[in-house]
Amino acid sequence: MKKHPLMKLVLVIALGLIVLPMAVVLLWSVTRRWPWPLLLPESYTLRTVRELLTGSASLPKLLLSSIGLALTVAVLGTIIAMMTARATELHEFRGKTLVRHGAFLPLLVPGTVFAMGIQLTLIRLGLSDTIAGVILVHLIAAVPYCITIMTDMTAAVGNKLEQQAMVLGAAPARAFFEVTLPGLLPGVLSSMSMGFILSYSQYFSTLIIGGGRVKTMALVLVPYIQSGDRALASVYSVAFVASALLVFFVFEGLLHALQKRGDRI
Amino acid sequence: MNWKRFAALVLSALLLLSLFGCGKKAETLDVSQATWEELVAAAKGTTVTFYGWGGDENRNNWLNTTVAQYLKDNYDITLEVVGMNIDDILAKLSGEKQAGAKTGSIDMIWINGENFYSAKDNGLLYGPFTSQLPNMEAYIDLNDPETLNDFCMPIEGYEAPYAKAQMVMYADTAVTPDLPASAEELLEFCKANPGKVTYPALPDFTGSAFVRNIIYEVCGWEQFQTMEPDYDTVKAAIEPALDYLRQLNPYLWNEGKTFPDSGTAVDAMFADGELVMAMSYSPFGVSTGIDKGIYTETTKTFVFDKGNIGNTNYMAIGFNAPNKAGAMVAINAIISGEIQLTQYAQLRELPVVAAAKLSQQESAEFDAVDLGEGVLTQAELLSHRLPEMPANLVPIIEEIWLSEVVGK
Amino acid sequence: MKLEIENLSVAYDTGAVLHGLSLQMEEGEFLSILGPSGCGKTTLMKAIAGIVPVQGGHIYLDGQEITALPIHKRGTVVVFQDMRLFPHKTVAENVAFPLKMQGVAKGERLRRARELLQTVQMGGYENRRPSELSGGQQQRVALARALAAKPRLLLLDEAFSALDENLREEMRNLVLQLKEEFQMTVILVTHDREEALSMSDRIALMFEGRLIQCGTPWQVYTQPVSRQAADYFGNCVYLPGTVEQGMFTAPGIRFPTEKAEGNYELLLRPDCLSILDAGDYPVTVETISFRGSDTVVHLRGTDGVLWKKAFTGKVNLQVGDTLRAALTIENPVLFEVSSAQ
Repeated sequence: MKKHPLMKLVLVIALGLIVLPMAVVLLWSVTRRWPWPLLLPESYTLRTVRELLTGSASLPKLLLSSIGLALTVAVLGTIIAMMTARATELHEFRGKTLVRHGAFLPLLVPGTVFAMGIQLTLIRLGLSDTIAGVILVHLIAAVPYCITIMTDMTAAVGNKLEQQAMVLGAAPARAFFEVTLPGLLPGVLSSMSMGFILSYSQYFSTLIIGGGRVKTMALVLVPYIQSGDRALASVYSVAFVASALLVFFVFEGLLHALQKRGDRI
Repeated sequence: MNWKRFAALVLSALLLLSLFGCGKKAETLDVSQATWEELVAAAKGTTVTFYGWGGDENRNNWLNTTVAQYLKDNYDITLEVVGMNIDDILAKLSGEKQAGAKTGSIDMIWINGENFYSAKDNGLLYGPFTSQLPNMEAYIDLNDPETLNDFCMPIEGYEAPYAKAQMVMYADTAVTPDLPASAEELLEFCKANPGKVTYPALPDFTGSAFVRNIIYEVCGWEQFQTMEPDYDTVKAAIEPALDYLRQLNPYLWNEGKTFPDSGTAVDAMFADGELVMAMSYSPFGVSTGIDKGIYTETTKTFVFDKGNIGNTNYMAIGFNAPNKAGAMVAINAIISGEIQLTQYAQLRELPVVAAAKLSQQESAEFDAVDLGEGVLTQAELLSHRLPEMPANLVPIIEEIWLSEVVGK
Repeated sequence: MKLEIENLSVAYDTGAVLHGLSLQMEEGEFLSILGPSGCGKTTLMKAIAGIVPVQGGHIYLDGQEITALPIHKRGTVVVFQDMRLFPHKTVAENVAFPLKMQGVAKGERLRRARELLQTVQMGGYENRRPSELSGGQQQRVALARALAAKPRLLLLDEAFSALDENLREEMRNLVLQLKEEFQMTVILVTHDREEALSMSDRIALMFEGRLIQCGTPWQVYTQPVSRQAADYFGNCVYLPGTVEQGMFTAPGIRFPTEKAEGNYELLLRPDCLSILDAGDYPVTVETISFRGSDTVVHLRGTDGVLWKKAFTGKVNLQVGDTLRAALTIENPVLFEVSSAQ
């Protein structure tokens, strides 16, 4: 298919808007000094990389806990979203629209206010300063987006194939896993990506609910951005983006592998 | 669909259980009455959390290595450093207070000034505790105003000194060989470098301190120590300084119509060569910056002849700290000569220990510390040190600056 | 009795769809549920399969009540109009699916799938994806898959309406052939009269959630129970007349009947009209339209009734010609005209 020249332009601009800043961040992460108005840094350093790899915040541990947390949120959020989407898309019941729109309520409240409000509840529940509490708060942030994705996907896939499978003798759960889930897979993966990135980039709620005990990349990265050590902030940003991208690639690869494998007998 | 109902029942039961299932181990020792030996014994084998700003990689490293190792070796205490802005720490504490959480998660807090004042006022801090720490007597000048008061607010044993800071300015002498030593000279300096000087917009911490420094420069400092926190009183008192600042505006960056939003922004603009001068509350920041290569080697620190504002930052304990004994032992360790020396040497922070209380050997070790390039000596700084204003004047000045200086 | 439906009621949020419907079916029968769209025939099919919940009544299959049985335990297999092949599975996997659900071992079920695909003339397509098949091929695979489930009752939901004319004929024959071969009981849900008439042992005619008439195609077509039923098959002509003293009388027509006295309409279809030159029913040619396989001629009777009659072969008529036709009436159907009308 031949692309419209205007489309090409838009593509180039969009790429420029993403690639250029990333390139600058990449450059900054090894910059010693970059005085104005030089086009490129005056001198470079590996201080930041050294700090990243051997500094007080152990990178592997940090990545493991951040990614572990975000994956948990992604999986749980997608399961919740899938169930919600099925309820609202495939069944008729009173208050259906209420459920659909209600899921978005947490987004209407500014994150800071929301986190502080829910902190009270979580303290009473004994979930403050626990991973479970952080997962819960991240879920509240992620689930609305997951629901949007899964609702569209569920509406598109419908339950026709599931009905067909049941008619052919498949029990409901079996029918779902055999024929509906493969169809939902692209949605499941994007919902998981969404849940992942929303959890991965949470700062304030992790801070308040996790009490700083639950350590994530964002938690270490943000203070460096605030402190103005641009090189160090950049190197952490690069690590942040790269690790998130890596997870996305794994997701993407998983999707392809699953689709290729299809659902063998 | 009976199993669905059953599942719902089980889930609800689990949720309920989680409500009650959070019983915490009660602290048996009455910390406020305990002897030092009892405190050390109670702290043995425990973990202490230290909450504070996490944006200084050197400090993070120092805490996680030097201090943590020291505590482990001497007291078998595990130090857990948590990077969190003081606003968030206080928000968290006040949330816990509202929720009635008797046992929180914050042991030690890095704090000072207004934040200390409001935290203490709202019952978010534990204390008094400093009189129980042997090193207060051993290393700290108990009559130093900065030991007694924090931004003129009585400390009353609710926090122990951590490090001293002092407002300094710095510039690249290769670009501007002559550095201003007074407000007057600063005005000339700005005229000579139009558009290349500015300061962070208030209420940024650094910008606010810089403006207070100008106020001291123009109006003198003594009158503010006991001033009532009243808008009109303060405004009348600082009117000459406001005049001066308005005079400065036309020669500032963007003609004083706007100001950079943070100290870090001003510092970055200086590092990039967009400004010829910047200011900071870290008196030895320049040598660290030169080491990192952020500043040129010809960058020099300077202060006004009449002196610059200095303050002390402190360590306090959360009202619901789960490990108060551990926190007290850790704080006691940090104010020791040994740890203060490492802080001075590794972080280039002004120590809080009283020179008079140091042994000869300790004094020699402090003197031997290489502070690096481009900075003033400890003696020069301390001889140009002015006390902070009462914390409750600070927001008033910030408010006045916003309406009377910006863009005027 | 294979299938027995008693007083079945189904309602959606929007209102009742089936009103106390009853129906019986014999083992090995081919029954068409015929009716216009919205008459509830698909709902009836779904109720039998268990896809929609029922509000009242009972369904028995082989004497066992299945009204509350979950879908997958009924053995009522549906071939939907849109085929619903599983897009992520190959053709063979699709056909083997019901066997997989029954726990048949992989090798065995693939072997059976291959056999069934041979039966529907789809041998060699085992490893294709459904998206690579034409509509007709998909239909065959869907049929093979349904057969693999060994249905106690096969339900065809408008199964052929998505296909084009030629293919439809082919598929109908295939279904009839398979029905014989596998000795199945089949329900075909359709709105296509011709399809229902040509394929079924019996037709159940539905209007507005009610079963109007159930009988052999011949009965349903020639002996409709109401004008509505008659009109559904089209091409109806009604001659108004009266019954007096056991005789129906209309212009040019008179025959004995057992109906009570009153005003009636006589149902006539074009095949009642024979174009002879000796008849006593004069008609005038109004239009002639040649359609390829046949020619439709509109003829106006002296009583003002318009007849649409199809002729094959060459038609030697001119517009304006008057012919002396004749009406032949066997098994006359009379509908009472209510006095209110």
